[in-house]
Amino acid sequence: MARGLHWHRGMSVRSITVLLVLAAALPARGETADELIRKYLEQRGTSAQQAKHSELVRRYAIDLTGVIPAEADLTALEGKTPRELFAWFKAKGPMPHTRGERPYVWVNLLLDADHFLFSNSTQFTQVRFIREFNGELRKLYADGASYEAFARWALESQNFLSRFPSGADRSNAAFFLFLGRHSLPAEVPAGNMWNGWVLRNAAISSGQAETNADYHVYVYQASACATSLCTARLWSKTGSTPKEAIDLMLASTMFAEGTVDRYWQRLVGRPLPGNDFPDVRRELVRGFVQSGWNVNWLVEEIATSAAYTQEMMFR
Amino acid sequence: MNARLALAAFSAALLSCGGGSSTARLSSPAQAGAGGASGTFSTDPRDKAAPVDRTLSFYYGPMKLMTAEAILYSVASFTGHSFGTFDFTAPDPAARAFADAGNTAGTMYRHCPFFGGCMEHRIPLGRTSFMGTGWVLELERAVVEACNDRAAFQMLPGNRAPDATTLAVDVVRHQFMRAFGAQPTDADLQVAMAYMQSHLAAPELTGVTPLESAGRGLCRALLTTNRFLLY
Repeated sequence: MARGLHWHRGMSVRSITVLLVLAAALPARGETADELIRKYLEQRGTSAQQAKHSELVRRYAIDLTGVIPAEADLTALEGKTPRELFAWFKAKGPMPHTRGERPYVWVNLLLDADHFLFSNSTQFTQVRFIREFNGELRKLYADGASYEAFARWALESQNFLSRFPSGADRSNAAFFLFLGRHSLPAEVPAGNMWNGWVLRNAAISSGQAETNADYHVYVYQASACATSLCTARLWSKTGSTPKEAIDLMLASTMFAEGTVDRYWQRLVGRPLPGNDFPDVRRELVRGFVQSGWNVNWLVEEIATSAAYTQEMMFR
Repeated sequence: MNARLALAAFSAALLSCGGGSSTARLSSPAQAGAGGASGTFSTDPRDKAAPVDRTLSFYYGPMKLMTAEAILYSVASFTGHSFGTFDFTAPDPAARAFADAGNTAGTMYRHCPFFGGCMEHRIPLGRTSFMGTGWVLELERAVVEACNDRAAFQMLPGNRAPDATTLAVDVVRHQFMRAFGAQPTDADLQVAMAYMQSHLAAPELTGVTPLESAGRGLCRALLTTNRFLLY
């Protein structure tokens, strides 16, 4: 199915650049990830076997609302297609366990918190920051906001700078959060690019970090680079400011690939076999960027593909 | 005691039978020539000579263990029992705000971290995808708490205590539908009814009718099966 290039509000010039780079690297065939997976199975002499309706309803209910389906769902969803099931559970209104939130948003925020806030690499502790971060993440699911814009916000936020005070820490955390990998020794010097970012009020002692909100305000001071190295190379490109460090990261295909991998793991429960089936990841990356970095597009694309809708190995 | 033995046998039977339609697919890769010229394949990493058929990646859908939160909220939805809730943005974990958020008698947070969930911002215990001894023991505690909650009846037909018109088979059908989203197969029905009959003859709970006692026992069994926890 051929799909045209659409302009989305969340798309930046850099997004378009990434898209063009990806498009150039791919043969022009326009098959969806689902079609590619079905083709692979056909090449192996078999075909995708859709899970039983009850199994599928249960899968969508738990993944999209966080609980097993209600009796009313089971009755209402008889004979529906996977895409209709997805739409049904995604549209559910607040439920008793979701604290007034739409279940689809709630369940994604819950799983995002594992990654962004409380992973071994992050462990945010400031309640104000946790709520602020959560609020930005919420826009991704509730409003379809650009994930690239969110990543840029997160990497520039006082929250992030405060939690990771050294440039090396920041690059490590940034690689983990947004590229889906821990840094390699060769990439750690990229932290130098963050070195110009310093506390606005150095007179506030670190002992007040928990109590004085002004302690956490960072500003960029080029003069700081007179005493510390602010230039570094990342993937053969040189930068010397925090903005350049972020630009290099977000322009890398690893950024989109890492995001695709994370959502694939979340929904399918095992890693995307990218080495063996590179086209599936490439197609998801291309569609994700083309959608304006909309994670809702990505979730739906994965959750309605044959990789997700097939029967379970063991019941 | 009879009821306990019947429960154990019933749980084992559920684990071993289930839906079962996918077994035939295990032979598909070899039939399709996945193993090269020999027509065989191995997923054993020690068997270097045999190629690994990575197409298996797309042969089956997901098989995931429910998250801690999904388990507890699903058990609550199934039984009508409330574990309370939690809020990871609560300002002061030391004040046990997590344990009691939304429900002053809440036990959500007391169970949840054992299943690798309900992350809070000071002591991340980490998600888990396997069921260790502590995990299973805590699950049993949570399930017993919910299924034996005398004020909760959602695990019983009509969301009320069974009366003279309620049949054991109605309880079985109701619980299978809610727990697994499907009516029991003949095999399911056979083992479940055997359990119900033995439990009716020697009820485990006092102060309730034998059928309610049996229904609450069946609830404990269904909510601790792979079929409920994996999806």
